Amino acid sequence: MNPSDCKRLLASILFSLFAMPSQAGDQAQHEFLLFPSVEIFDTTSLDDELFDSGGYIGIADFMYSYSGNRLRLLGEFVLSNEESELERLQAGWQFGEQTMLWVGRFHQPSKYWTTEHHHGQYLQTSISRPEIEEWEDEGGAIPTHITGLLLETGQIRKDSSGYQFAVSVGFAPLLTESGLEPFELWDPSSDHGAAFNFRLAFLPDYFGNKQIGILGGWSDIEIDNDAPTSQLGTESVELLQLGVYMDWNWERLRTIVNVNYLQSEHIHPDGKITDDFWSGYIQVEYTVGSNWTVYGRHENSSGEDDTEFVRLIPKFPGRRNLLGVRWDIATSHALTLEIADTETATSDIGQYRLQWSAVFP
Amino acid sequence: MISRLFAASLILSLALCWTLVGAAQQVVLVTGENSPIENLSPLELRKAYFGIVVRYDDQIIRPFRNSSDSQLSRIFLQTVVATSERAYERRLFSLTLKSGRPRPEEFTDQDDIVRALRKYPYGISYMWRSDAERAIGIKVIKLLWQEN
Repeated sequence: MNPSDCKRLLASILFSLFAMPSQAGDQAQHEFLLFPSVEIFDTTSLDDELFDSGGYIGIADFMYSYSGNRLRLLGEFVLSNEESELERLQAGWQFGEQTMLWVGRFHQPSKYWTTEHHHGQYLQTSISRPEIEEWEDEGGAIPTHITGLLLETGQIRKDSSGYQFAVSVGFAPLLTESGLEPFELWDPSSDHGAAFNFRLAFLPDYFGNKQIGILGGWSDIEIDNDAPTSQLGTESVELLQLGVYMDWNWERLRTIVNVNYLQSEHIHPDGKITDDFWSGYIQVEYTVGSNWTVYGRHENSSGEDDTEFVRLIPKFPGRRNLLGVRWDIATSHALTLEIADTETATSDIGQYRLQWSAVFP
Repeated sequence: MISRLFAASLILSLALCWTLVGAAQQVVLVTGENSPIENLSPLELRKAYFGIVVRYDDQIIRPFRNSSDSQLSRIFLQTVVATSERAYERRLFSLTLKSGRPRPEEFTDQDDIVRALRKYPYGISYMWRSDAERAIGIKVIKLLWQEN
């Protein structure tokens, strides 16, 4: 079986599973969540056509899951005034109490922020996400959507502390003229390299938010013939990511920290070019009263200016500072205001955002 | 005569105290009367209410939230689940979005919980003991909380 046949088979299995009728009788459960959000934004000091000068974004994120005795199906679909995309489509089989093997398209585990909030805007305190956690179609540098196998497991100890481990292997995105482009289930014939990602976390209370861990991944990113980099002679990019993260809270104070080492090998017909740099962020949140949260985030990178990889991701910011305030106006509704100063390789811009977000039901 | 009056008063006082102690509010874990569930540990209970699959006789425990009384709900979340209501709701949304795990079904009418417990042998919920003793078709598994 050649790789294309393998991809077609994978896509067929997934669609068949989702078309399957309920088989678990009384044990079958269905879940549906809707995360809507509306954001208006403005950008100042604009001298870069890569960034929109202002406007609005309306997003509806739909999540559906089916849970049987051992089988679980999960789909996440995003509809907005800018795009519509099937984000996740995965089928899982449960082994033991805390182990699930998934097949399908998923968010790979080495991006902490992404796998904690997915597209549920209401669940993240800030409006924007750190650039290193950005989606591929928003200029993200690290692959997010992988199609393949994902194993998630965990261990809860008697004192309620525990470990979580996730590892995935699958098809990496393709680098095209518009940036990274994930493998699409309905277009399984395109050429994609392999991707491997993992995360290991320790949780002092398995049921809470606090955790600390290590994460990493390796992706073989093929270059599309139309991508500008192929004109420079790059055939593919091998991206290595190693990082540490922490999400911790002390009473009303919460801190999220993530530091990543990134190494890229650019494969040319006559050899390799190897670059590396560091990138990370720290977000601090403080809850005031019962409904208000003030927060700030600092994003920074080191050594990225001279790397060929970052030249492929023009929106990648070297530095960003932002401040924001969130008001939880009612059960499951929030209003958030955010001001950011972003510095990329070519520009320095100010961004203002106001957002309403919610979750139903 | 005085000693008889004293004795009678003492007996009445003791009876009154006994009634008051007996009336102290208790929260109990309940299931259907035909359920094979005999006990669940505090950790299993916490797992179930966070949507983690807990099995009994290889069958999935199905937790039901009793939101018919805000005080009952608050006591259960604070003493058994060990979280505030707001943090609990947000955590459930997050866990469900992450892995599709089903959230515990929520009922605002206690009669609906009793019906659900009768229907699902591996269903569990919590009630005031007085309500559990009045309800038909369910049984008490264990005491979860008692008023001091």
